[in-house]
Amino acid sequence: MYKHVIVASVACVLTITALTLPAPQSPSCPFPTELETFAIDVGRTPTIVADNLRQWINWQGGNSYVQVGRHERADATSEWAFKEYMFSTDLKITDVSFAAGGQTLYVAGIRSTGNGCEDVIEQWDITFPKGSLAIQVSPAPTRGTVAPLPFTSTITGTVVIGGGTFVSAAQRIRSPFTQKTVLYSGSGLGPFAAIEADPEQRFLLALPLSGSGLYSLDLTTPSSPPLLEFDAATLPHLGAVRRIVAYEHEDLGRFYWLYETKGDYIGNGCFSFIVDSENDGVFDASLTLDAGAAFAASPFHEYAKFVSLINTTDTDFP
Amino acid sequence: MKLSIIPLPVLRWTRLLPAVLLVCLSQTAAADKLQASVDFLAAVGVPTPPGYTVQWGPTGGAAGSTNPKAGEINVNADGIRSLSPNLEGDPTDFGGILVVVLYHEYKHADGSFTNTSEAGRACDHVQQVHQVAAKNCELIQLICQEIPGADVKPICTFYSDVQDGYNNGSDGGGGASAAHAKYGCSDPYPGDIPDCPACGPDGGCAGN
Ligand SMILES: [Zn+2]
Repeated sequence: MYKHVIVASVACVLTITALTLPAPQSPSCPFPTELETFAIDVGRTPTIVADNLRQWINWQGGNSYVQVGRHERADATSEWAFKEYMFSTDLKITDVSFAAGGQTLYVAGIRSTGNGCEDVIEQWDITFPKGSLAIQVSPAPTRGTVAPLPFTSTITGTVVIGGGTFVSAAQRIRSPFTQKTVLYSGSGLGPFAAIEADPEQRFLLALPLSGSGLYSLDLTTPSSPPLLEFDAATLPHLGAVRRIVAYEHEDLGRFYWLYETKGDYIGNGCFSFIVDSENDGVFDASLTLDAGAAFAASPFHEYAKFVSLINTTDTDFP
Repeated sequence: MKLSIIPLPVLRWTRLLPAVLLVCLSQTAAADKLQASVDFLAAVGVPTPPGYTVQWGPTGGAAGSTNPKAGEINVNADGIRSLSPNLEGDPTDFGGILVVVLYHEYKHADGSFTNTSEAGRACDHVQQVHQVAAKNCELIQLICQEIPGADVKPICTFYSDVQDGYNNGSDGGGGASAAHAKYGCSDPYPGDIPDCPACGPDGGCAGN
């Protein structure tokens, strides 16, 4: 199956290579048009679906805030209450990812400094106000150690922040507390077209718009230098990729799907996949497939075997 | 109201088969509900675009997605939940919402809106989302006409969430009109999405 699939992908890789362009940078920090998005063509991203908590994030490429929407209820049969939170930043955002049900956000963007511009990736750990619901997550294993499968098993439940009883959003007094940690800042490598967090928060994938390589940042040691996971010779398709999404497959295990668009219309290109079947944080394989027949014949098209990484109540599709 | 310079297929929503609508709205399994929505659209003159299969599947977080090369339209319940944050209950139960999500994806699949560049994609969606909202409202009117007293709260909530995102930007940072101006889209701005008169203030059909 794999041999067949890899052969089928070669033609696709060749056509995509020509589309790879270097990322422009100048002291005025222009925002790359390739990374602009609007609310009407890119929807909100769901981050957790549980019996008593649903959360989504919304952000737009080129803007400087992330909106978090939360639906909470005391228990699985009570009425939902909705609350929206807005988090601002001095970055012009290029991509946002999340972990721990969206209580941790990863935000990539461009910032002007006294000396010019820098590409930045930050981690935002959000503590919602006392009385809110929070997801409990098992401690992340070290990279190279097999992680529990599926990810949803690492979510051990929901608790009320600060203890005590659940307080409806309308009655909460305080705003969320956000602790921001710089994971990367520099110039030359970015801007980053796409980032995606390992659901177990061991690493963050970061893809420069140039497609020069797919990197990871060590989340257990902030400010570690980016580690090259796949170079452009191995994955020439990287220059066309604009979105990375973590998935899980009953047979294949953990994998990341690399799309050419952040929107809902896939277009006429290719998909790439990087696979970490044991979910030990070490990638075993990568491949690029034409989005047509080659993809349809691959195991990445076996949707019935997909497991939701955000839905703790109904982990299969739908 | 002028919807677009791109011709729409002539939709005959009013030549509804009430039986199909009832199947679509009644409590059936998620897979059947999706198929019932496909059947409903076909019955009102909007068949699945040739060469396409409709299924529940991964969309990367969106409510629906269209892959023209593989000939597939995927619909995702978690994506619907985040597109319509005020929706209560399980979106796989709401045939009306699936109909609207499918109609949006059909407009990609039938070749009406196929831009993938950032500017083209935004300009496409300025027109497309407006058109689909108009059909969403027609569908609500139809349900209320055929089934007086029907519970249209979910689909009205969905309509109003889409309307808010379109008119204001779901982040308050500028919606469709801002995108239209920024990219100098060639088609005229179709206007903000109006309230749907069929939706009553209590979530039921207006006038009931
Ligand atoms: Zn669309």
